[in-house]
Amino acid sequence: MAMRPDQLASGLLEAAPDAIVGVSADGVIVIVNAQAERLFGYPRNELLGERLEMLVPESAREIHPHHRLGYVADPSPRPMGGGMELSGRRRDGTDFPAEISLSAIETGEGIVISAAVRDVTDRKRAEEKFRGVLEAATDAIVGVNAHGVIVLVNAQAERLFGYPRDELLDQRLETLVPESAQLRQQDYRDGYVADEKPQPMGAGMELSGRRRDGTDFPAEISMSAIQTEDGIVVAAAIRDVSERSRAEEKLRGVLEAATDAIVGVNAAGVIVLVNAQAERLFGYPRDELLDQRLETLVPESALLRQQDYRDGYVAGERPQPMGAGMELAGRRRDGTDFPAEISMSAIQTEEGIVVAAAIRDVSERKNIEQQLREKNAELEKVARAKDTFLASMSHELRTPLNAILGFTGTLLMQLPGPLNVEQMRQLRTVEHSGKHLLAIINDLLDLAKIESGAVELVLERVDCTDVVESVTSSLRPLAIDKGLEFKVSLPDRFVFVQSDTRALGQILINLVSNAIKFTDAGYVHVSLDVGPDGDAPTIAVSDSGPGIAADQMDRIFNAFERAGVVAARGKEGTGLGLYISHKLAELVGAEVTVDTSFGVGSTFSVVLSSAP
Amino acid sequence: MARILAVDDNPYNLELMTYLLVASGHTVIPAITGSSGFDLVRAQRPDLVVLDIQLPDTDGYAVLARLRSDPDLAGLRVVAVTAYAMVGERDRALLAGFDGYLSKPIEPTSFARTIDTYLPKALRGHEPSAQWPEHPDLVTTDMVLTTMDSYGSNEAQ
Repeated sequence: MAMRPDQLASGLLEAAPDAIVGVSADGVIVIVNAQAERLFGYPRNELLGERLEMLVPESAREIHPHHRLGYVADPSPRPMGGGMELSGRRRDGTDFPAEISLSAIETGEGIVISAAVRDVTDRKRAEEKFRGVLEAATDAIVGVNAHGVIVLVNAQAERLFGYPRDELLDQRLETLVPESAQLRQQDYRDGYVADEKPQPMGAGMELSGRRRDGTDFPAEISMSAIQTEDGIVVAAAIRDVSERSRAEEKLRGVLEAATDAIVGVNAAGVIVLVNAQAERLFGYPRDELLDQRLETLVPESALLRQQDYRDGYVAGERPQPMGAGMELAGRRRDGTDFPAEISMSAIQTEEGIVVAAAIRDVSERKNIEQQLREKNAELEKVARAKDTFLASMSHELRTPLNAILGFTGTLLMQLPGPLNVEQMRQLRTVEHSGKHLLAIINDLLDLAKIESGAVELVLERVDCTDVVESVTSSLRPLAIDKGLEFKVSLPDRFVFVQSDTRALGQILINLVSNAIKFTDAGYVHVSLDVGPDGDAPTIAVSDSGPGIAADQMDRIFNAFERAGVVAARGKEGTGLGLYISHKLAELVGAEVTVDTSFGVGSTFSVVLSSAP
Repeated sequence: MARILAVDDNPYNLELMTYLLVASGHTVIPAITGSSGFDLVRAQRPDLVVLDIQLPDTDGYAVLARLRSDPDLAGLRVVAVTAYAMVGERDRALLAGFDGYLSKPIEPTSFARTIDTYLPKALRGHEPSAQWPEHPDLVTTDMVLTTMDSYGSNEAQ
């Protein structure tokens, strides 16, 4: 069925989504569609024949006819207002934001201007909301259209780059991004627009921003593409990371200055951080290490433990140093392993927890430890062998002496039968020499123990008065037998010294028995004195013996030296007593000194250390 | 008078101990190995054992341990007489369970007197006698060795 042209026009008019109002050149409404009735709230008959200005807010009514006349003069289809914000007025007097497209139609009654009016209240509201989000963002946000032109900025962007808003709009993004970063920037932007998928760039882009004054700053830029009515807009959120960069630089410095290899692993077990030491230790260049799994560097054997530790760390989210004590192995790029000591600590970073493992190659230490262990075992073996040897030697020397002295004794006891005087005298010589030999054997064994370090000393709090009393009381009979005056003077209180009871006793026995041995007439005095502050207790053994000649003085503490051979003639002795005393005193931190006057007597002193 | 078992691998030293103890009126059962000493203790039930530490087959400590672990021999007195005279040896012996410790060379004039102190009370009070020449049980090294030889051949049977 054929349709009349006016019927066709009317149908199109009513089918249009927008409100359409047709106006004659002098501003009278001649065409209205149902959408226009609904939009403005007037029935059609109240609009037709009326002046268009009734649909225009009062603020624009005065200027509106001028614009209309301007359009009639050049009637091409175009959006009205040239970027101005337009409004319509409803019958109830309320205004609404409007977008209006104009076109001119020649009719029999002259030109008719057709205005398609759209209520953009919803869009404006959305835009306002968006604006609110934009301004509320902490980051500077710059929106760029597909042509790289800035179409959107927030106040933070103005502040960050130092431009007023209207100087930024319609600029190219490159203005804000220095030459160096332009290419990359371009790539990213293009990629975004091509994808048309909004995706945050995330951190990791090292870019810089340029301020209006020409200075640059390190920037972190997150981008996302937004589909808008005007096409894709790439919104770049730009953050000045100067502070963080400085901190990171410092951190990097610390990292590289560390003597240990450091490998940072994220929660997924992927290496995100290495220092030069790690490159060197494992033999990988940095870029081969990054994005590898930590397991690459840790041999199979240690995988499980390693895994546990890492998981524990990330789960715990508490930084805690692992400390030493973990014995793991590291694997180099060439496949060789090395013993490693690994300390771990978890660091909270912007990208989540990073477990930093400080890895030290302890091969050398292990080697040295092993060598020391072997050396120690060897020394222990030698010491044990020496001990065993000394014990055996003592045993083997004493065994025949047992029969020699024993049967000499039975003869002297006249158990097998009576002896004449000469037999008796000769047997006493055998007994005497046998005992002398035993004394030498005892001294030599003592000395061997001291010199080999096999002597066991227990340095403890020793009551010095007790030692002096027990030694002097056991030797007193010898002195009395020789008709000597034997005097012991002790302080009327305990004197505690830091020493070994047995060693101190042995030193004292040597000195006192020497004094008795070499003194034929007169006295032997033993005294214990304490300094004015209770310091350096000293045991002095004085005698009225022959004394020691000046030229012998430097030899008296030597082995087998018997000072003043003339005086010593006929005296029984091993020649080792003073030497042993001197050595023992050294071991217990004491000192044996001598003060002598040839022909008058000697005083041997033991200077001790007070007990704490 | 007591029955004393003396164990020493050196025949001269065994003779010396035997001589001194016999001169004090005791009966001495000599042994020169640890295992023969142990067997003789079980067979003869002496009043005291005088035990050397270094023996050819086993040492005095092992013999003591066997003696101490035998319930039949509870209360047996055992004295160590040894040429091991280094510091600590006495403590080691007493700790191991010896009743006494004497180091060689022994003091002949006091040996029998010292041994006397380890005897059961009723058997004490003996001194070496100067009347030795009339003593019927003269013990010599040759005698000891002969005894040991016969014991050794018995053991082998």
